[in-house]
Amino acid sequence: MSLEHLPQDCFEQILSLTSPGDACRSSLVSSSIRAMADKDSLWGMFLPSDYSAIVSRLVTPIPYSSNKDLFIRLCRPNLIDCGKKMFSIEKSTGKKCYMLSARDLSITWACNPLYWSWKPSSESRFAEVAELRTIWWLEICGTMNSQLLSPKTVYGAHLVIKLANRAYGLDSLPSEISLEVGNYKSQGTVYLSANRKATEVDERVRPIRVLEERLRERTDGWMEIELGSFYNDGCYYNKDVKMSLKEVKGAHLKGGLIVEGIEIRPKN
Amino acid sequence: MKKISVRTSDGQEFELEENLAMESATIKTSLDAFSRDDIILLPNVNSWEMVKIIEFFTKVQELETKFGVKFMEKKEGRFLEAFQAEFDKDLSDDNLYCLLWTVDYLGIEVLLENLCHLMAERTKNKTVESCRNLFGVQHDYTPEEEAEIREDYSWAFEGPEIEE
Repeated sequence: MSLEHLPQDCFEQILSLTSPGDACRSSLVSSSIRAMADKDSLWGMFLPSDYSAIVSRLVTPIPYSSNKDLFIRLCRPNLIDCGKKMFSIEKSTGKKCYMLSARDLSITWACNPLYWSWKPSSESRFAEVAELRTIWWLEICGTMNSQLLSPKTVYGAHLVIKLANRAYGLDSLPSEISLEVGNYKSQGTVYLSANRKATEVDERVRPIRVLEERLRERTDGWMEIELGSFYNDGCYYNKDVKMSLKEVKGAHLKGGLIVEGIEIRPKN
Repeated sequence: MKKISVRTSDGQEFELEENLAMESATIKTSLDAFSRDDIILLPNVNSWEMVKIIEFFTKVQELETKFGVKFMEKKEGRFLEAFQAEFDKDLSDDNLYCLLWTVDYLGIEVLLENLCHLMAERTKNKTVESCRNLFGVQHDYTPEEEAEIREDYSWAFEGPEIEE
């Protein structure tokens, strides 16, 4: 017995339990398999369940010829929600990823041009990034409704930044990072320096999960710090994910931090 | 619990627990048409398949109790892994196809999901040639067509693939 003896919807169910990559590779097996592996009903299962609503929220409409086509187009980041966020799906799983723009964050004193300046960047798809001129109270917070994310998934939140050549004062003391969702909270520290690894760990408070973090390079030319990670169970009631980085204990001035936003993506 | 009698294509008779029999849409339809005391004939099912189906069903009930999963709830993670660990190694590809066909014919949704999962695990991350052997189909692309598909979906061919 072989595959062709099975009813088509049985094969479709099998493929839906593999991955988008496996379904694409299957289309190379033979033309008859390709016809089944390319079906809208299959790729509708790989897309997020609310993909129609997502598509309607995109800033630039995406023309697509099939669900498979839409899946591949959504793997690239697209501006969404009036440009305040970017959306994409992870191509190996179809899970949702979001990036909150700097404008979508709460940055203390960001509205005061003495402290922070806002400008476009050729290296960012958002309209503006925020650059720290000088401040001693550095506090950056982001909030995201967990219902926007894929259920039953572990997510990591990353602050996406650059350090300007003239950056100063950012690594005199470690910054505090935290992530909170529902009853779960994790805290840690990071030195905002490309050359230094974080060394301090806050062990005074329990049972909070503690992180040591450091800056890591991204493939898009920016750097990132993991603010924390959490399991999104997808429960019915809304839970906000609150993420933050702050350095408010040192009374010294800091400057030269460029913030693109906070990215929330599945963690493997 | 009441037992329902069935006879397979090779003449063997089995007594099924009523709750298993009622999970089969095909058997249930026959029961609605005839008396429950009659033997239901299943000419498309042979005895080794029936034995396996009873085994699967018993295991599914056991795992549901173990993992606290309700009957019609979508099965995930540890449940599916436990089912796979129990049955995967002793089932050839050919036997798995036969069972998939039979369970689909009998309309036993809860088992179909588990068996589809077993087949899906055999498909994941395999090379195209391995999938051809697994699916039992012939290659019918020209080299140009094949190259075009590989290029269109180059991202699907990154990462390790298993040759079998």
